[in-house]
Amino acid sequence: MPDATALADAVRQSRISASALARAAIANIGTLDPALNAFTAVFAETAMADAAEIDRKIARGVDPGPLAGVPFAVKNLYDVAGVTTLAGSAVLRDAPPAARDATVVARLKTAGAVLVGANNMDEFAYGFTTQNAHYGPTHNPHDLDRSAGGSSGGSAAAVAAGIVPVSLGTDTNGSIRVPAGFCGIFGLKPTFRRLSRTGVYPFVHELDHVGPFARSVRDLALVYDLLQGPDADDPHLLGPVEPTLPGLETTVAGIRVGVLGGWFRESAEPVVLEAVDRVAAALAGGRTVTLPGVAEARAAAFCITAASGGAMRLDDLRKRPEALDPATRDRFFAGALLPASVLHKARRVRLAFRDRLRAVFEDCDILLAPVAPCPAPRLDQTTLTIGGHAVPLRPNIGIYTQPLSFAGPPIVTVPVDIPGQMPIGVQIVGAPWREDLVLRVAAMLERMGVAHVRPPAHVADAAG
Amino acid sequence: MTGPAPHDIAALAERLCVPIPEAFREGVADAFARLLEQAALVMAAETTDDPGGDLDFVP
Repeated sequence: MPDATALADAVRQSRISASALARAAIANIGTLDPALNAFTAVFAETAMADAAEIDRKIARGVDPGPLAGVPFAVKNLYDVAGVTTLAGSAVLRDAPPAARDATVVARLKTAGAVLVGANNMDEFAYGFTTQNAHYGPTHNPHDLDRSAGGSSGGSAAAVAAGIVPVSLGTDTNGSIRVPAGFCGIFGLKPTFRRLSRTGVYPFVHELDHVGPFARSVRDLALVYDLLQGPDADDPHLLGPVEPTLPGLETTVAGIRVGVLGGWFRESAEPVVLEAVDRVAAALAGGRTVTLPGVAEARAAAFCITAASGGAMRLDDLRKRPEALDPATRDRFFAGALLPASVLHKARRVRLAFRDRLRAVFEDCDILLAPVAPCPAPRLDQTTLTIGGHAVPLRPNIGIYTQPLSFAGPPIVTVPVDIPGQMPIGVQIVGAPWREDLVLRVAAMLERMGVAHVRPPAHVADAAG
Repeated sequence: MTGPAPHDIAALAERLCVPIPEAFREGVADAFARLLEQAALVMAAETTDDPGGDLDFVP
């Protein structure tokens, strides 16, 4: 499975046409997606037209861009011009089509990438499993009986299955990092407020991030670099444009590695801890670091998510609650009833926790943590055992991702491949605005073979 | 897990103009109990006296 960088090189050198790549991606959706259910829409006509335009540019000697002819897909909460933005819901099915592409979608198209489809997700991004009552579950390409993770599960499964080399998801509490880990690919949640969210359907505005999935770190860095830039329509953007690709192969020497202990190890299955420890060993050890206030931070993120999500859906709760996915509806109702004092206090908890994380980064350059307490669960699994107690599976998959993103630092999920096991994701956490460092560490782990994307068996079977 | 009874939550919701259909009340009560568990942790957390929190959050 060539990555996006290799495919773009081949297109730019006329070794393959953009049209052929688009045709292959669309054919792969037809072959593989009936079993995966990663796509809710296929843009065959526009994709073939866009690819033909790339081929014409090459024929005329015009630079087609760094992602020339690379097929990509986006979670179906990204605006795509002429298409209704579903955000995984049924209540938006009759909404008017988007007038223009989301800023980050437009940036990838400008770079020569070809949008081939929209991906399945949890309704309104409120979940960690992509089990959607309206559009069905997305299946993990490594084991069709298991979850692809969520809420960006379709985007991750599409990349893991090799249908597209890169895709876009969003991450509010773990929705890029969890599916990347469960599907065994790379995913980046950039620093909060780093990338434009214009044209991205909001879930929890004060927590939402956009970011890419890829099968190689160089692709992750390339796409992330292309997504950066000012946007007059997003007044919340912060931080300068800082390309990461040029320094990606720079050796990372002498970095101070902290392995998050306490909360981040207490509930994890042994195979998950083995993956974290493999990464730590590859980075010359690392010391155990305790981050204070994690339980409160996770609780605060939980409350803000429920309250903001409930407020967003107030009209639907009043007028058509039966049209909401049962998996989200009850939590939206509950969130809409949460006292305001809790929400205000939760925001103060966020500030305090951010300061605690900043203090930890005075002694560490990166932190390691599991993505989830377990590998991808079975789709029929409803509980998870934590501390000897059975707890509901869906909200607890994110116990390691939710508190970290609450403070807003950049985090890469790297896939660790342990033979005989489902892929295991490990979070590489950097200080705010240090995407360059977390990507360099991920690239180093990839070169060492510690982080590794394994082609899924389902794809091999389908390929015959 | 304990929390307000479904009929109490339904009465509160009705008063706030977000009526909960009968069929959904048990599920909402469960979700509300889980939320209260987390809310209790939040309210007990040590924070500064900064007013209100910061919607313009900077990482």
